Amino acid sequence: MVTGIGTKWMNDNAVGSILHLQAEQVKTQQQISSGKRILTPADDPVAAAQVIRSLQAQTQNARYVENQASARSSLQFEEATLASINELYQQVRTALLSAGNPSHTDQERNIVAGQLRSFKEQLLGLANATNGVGGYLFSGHSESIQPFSSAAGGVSYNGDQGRRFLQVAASRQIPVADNGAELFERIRAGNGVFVSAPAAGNAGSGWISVGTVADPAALNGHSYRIDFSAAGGAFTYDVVDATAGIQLTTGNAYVAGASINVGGMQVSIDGAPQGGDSFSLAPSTSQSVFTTLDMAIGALAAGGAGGAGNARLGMAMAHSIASVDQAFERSIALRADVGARLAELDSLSSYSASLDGQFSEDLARTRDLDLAAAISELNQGQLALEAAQKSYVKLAQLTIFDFI
Amino acid sequence: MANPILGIGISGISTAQAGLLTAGHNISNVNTPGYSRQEVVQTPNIAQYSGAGYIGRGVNVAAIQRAYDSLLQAQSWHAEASLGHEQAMLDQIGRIDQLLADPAGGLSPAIDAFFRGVQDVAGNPADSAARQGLLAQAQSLASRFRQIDEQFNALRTDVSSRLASAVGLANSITSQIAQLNDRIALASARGSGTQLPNDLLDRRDALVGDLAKQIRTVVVAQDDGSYSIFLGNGQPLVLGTTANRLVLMPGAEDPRQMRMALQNKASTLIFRTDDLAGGLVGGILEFRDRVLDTSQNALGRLANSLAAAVNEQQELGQDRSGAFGGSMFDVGAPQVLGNSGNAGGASLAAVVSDYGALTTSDYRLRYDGAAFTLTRLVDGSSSMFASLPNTVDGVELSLLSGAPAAGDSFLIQPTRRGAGSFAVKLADPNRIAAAAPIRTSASLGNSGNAAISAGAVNAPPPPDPNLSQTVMLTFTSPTTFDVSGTGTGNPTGVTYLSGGSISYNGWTVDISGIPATGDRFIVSSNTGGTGDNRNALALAALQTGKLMSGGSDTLQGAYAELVSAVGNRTQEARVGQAAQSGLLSEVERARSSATGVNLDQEAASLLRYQQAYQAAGKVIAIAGQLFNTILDLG
Repeated sequence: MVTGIGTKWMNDNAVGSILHLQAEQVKTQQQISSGKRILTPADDPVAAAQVIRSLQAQTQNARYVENQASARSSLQFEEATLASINELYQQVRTALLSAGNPSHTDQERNIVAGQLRSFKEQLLGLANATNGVGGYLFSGHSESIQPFSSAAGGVSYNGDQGRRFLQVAASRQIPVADNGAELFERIRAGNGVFVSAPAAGNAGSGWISVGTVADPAALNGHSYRIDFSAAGGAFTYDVVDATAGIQLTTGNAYVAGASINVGGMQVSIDGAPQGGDSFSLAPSTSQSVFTTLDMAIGALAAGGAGGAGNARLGMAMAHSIASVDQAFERSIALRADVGARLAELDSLSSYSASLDGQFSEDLARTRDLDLAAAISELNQGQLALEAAQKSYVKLAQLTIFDFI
Repeated sequence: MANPILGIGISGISTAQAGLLTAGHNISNVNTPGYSRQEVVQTPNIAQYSGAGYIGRGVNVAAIQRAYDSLLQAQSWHAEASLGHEQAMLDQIGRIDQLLADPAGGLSPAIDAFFRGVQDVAGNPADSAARQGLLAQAQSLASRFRQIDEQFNALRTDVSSRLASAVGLANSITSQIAQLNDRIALASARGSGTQLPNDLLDRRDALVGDLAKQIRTVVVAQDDGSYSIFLGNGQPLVLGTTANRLVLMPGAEDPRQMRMALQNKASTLIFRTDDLAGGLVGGILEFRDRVLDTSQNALGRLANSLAAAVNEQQELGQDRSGAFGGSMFDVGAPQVLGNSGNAGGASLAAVVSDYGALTTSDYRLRYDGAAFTLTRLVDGSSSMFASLPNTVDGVELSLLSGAPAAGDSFLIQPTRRGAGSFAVKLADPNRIAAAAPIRTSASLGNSGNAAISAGAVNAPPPPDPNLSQTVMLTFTSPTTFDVSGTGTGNPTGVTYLSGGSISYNGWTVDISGIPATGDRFIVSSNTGGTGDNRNALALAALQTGKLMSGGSDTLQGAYAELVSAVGNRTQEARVGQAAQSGLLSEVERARSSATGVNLDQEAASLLRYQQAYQAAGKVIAIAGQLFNTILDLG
């Protein structure tokens, strides 16, 4: 005998199938209305974890973009300030050059001294510049402490030697501020390696050049002295290693303007030194650019009467220019560095933008719904559901009882 | 003897009537769950011998039999139990799945927002608004942790009440089965061996099916018609007319974790989760012991690791007032639960010594009188050691007081309360340690070109008490330096190596380059460093730091792992549920085909028995006419 199917099971099964199809339709509809392929992690556990990671990376990347903007604004402030500082150094240099002119009168020199004083105040103002939100640009970590203050003894630095960084990419922290110690204080005086200077009591009009390094390998950090003596009508000079206390050469014939090489350093002495005059060569030490300016102003005030005075003033100006040039170079280098950082920020910005696009693409692939496919699925589901409903109604209507 | 034709006709009528009754009974029970189609078993009456041989004497109803297939029935019960298990698992784990699914309500955005707050402070360390914002983000992170943990706790409560109602239902079913056993035995004894109380049997089978939905059992039919019902591990639930009661008992270690037990007359037997696979109870127990515990532990571990890492970095930094930063978060401590049956008086403490090494498992510590065995419950791996303290998986166990007796056991939950007790401790935004407590500088008089790094405070906290002391490093030659400062011991002639680390008083700096004799470098306290964001940057770096799972995973990586693990298990449960549901449907189709009522079939039976009835009526009519023929003769 052919076994039938229980009527109850038939009904239960048909209704169960219809309910199942309905649930599928509801899920597809939910996917469409939320635009997401994954409604709960169980829909695709691997992709769900991927979505969390991608979202985190994208949020973090967005944060880096904000940091880049903030770093850019801060660096642009610094860049503008450095540009003004460089311009100012240019003017200081011009003023110092003109002040060295021996034909200047005291009055004219006073005018230059006045100019220099004003430049110093301007420089101080720039050194104490703020970053637009109240913090000082050049005070290191001590953002709320005014970095430079002027007192009787000169300008002093109150900040620290810290440098502030911002995280602008996953593996890049960029400096967004530089400290005033590096920019204004740690400036090597003279030509940056050594300082040549006349002794205080020189009576002649001989003057020593700023000098250059002839042989870097021969530099030993010692101080030297060039002592002049008059023997008959001719001048000779002795070279003394002042650090070691040794006389290196004696009785060298003096030829005005000829270069003298001492311990890897090359200077020239020109003019008319007298017996007993002496010049020193010493390794550079750090000298604040404000001190340099103060010294130049002081030299101008002391005036330049007579040959010796003129020589002294000329040397003071030449050496001040050399020291200012050191600060100038530092400032130019820093500005170039800031410019490089700004350029790096630009390239990081486009990198971050492409990363963001990448993350969005990843998310679209892992999380977002393919709408066309989903709608076609919905239509198919609709068809299946209608078919199931119709066939069930047909089947349920079919019974022998209708014919009894 | 009356007219035999009449007798035959009457037997036909009453048999057809029985057939009609049975078909009617079948039709009216078409929608009764568990009902089996009944059939009339009819046999010819014993024929009478005549000279011509045996002449038939009509028909009688031998029995009313129900269509029954014991194999299909057993398969159906089995499928019911399996489906009950998967369904319960799916229902419960689906709720965790939903909980973790919400992209806005999940934990990951809260962690993102917290670290955004840290970045804000790093960008503007002196800005009160940024600091206040970070505290607000910390608060919302804490409340997100606690919200999710509360959901876990709600699930735990719900699981307990579901277990209780399942146990209540199972007990009511087993006592009904015991009663039915009694009635069926009585009723069966009344008839011959084939005349059975079909409807009672159906009801009992349906009850066994209901029981299977709650808990998996093994059914053994006894000779007297009664069912003996055993649990999977062989413990008897129903024996004849006696039903043993299932009870829920507080766990010996964790009293909030209810355990299933069977109450005999003599004793109470506590089951392990593995004893009870199948049915709603099995599914719920598996969910609780395998999924809920691990998931809540995973969340707790995440909270613990985050809080500990942030706290540590905070304590290495300097707040706005120049003091060392304090802890930002409260960290939940591990729980140690002693077994209520412990004979010894030992009290144990568990402390996390390495947050990076924590797992998501609970542990059981047993003492056998000579050595301790610590078992990691998720994978059953164990380690033995002779004495305490001992550190396993980043948790240090130590004996607080007393001594354990042989056979004592303890349950250790290192991270269970991590998320629940995650709270913000810091109230003052100025106490956020954005700055590093030290600063370094090179003397302006230096003539060498050596440079000093910004320096770092050595982990772990607490920082060295002399950290803030000013220390001077003075070079006595390009290759040696002297150190002076409180706490350093003022060593002289220390060898200098360019780029090498120099560490005193709990800090480390690098000096690189060629120093000149007399060059000096100074490490001092970072007084006034309001613009310093070094520590804030270090805090922000924790987001991408591999802090978890022994340095192999980030915080959010671990969270993604939890989501993925729950998702996987949910998907597994979905597939399992669909498979079992399909299997059950298939078994039910087969069973319905074998034993179910088909209305068309019954309609046909009605017609058949109606015709038989009418025909038997004709036989009686003809018997009457025959009788009249005889009468007419007289």
